[in-house]
Amino acid sequence: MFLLTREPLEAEPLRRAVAGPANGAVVLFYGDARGATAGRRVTGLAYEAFEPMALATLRTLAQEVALRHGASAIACAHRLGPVPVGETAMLLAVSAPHREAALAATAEYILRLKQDVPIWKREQFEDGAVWVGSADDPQARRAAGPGARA
Amino acid sequence: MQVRVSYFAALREAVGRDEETVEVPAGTSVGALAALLEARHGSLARHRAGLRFALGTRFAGPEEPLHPGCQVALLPPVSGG
Repeated sequence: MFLLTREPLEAEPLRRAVAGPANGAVVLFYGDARGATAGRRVTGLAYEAFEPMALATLRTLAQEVALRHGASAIACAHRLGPVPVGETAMLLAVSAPHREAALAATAEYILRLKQDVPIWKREQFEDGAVWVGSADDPQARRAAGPGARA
Repeated sequence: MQVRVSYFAALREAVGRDEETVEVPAGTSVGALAALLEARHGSLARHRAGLRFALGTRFAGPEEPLHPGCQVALLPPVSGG
């Protein structure tokens, strides 16, 4: 199950999509809209995607990551449009027979999503807005290192 | 030949539109198209770092050739999740 939606995200459908009798471990990851970046107050977020490519990439990454770690199934949903601070912007569900595979696949999937899925985040501050990671982002240099942007 | 170009996020705002049709010589590569677009839209130049391209819905390198009617997307550094 892979979904891009302008509606609030629900975890239970994703959990159900990956759970099953063979899977003793199900990891649910919530990526929530954070109310501050580098000490600046964020008043809201908005996401934009190249939707057909984002969906295709979410699927391809799931196949690659599940195969590499021995995970059984991966489901992912991402919000588009405005997301109020504190609400969930991304939901990921990963199942595996045992927890090690599910946790490792969860960590790698998030990392790959942040590198390769064409979705963009716009942070709104009290005095303006910026596309995260763009040439206009004062944090872009800091974020250039792997994992620098959480 | 004509190709369709789409812009996203910071690039869409820099160019002031989300897509356009561009006339290019047969055999033009993705990278040559990017140079042509940068000449047309000066505001694109500062977004060169980390810029990636897609042909259809897959990433494409700058050396890849364009085809008549193809869809090219200019993708600034992604920031989902």
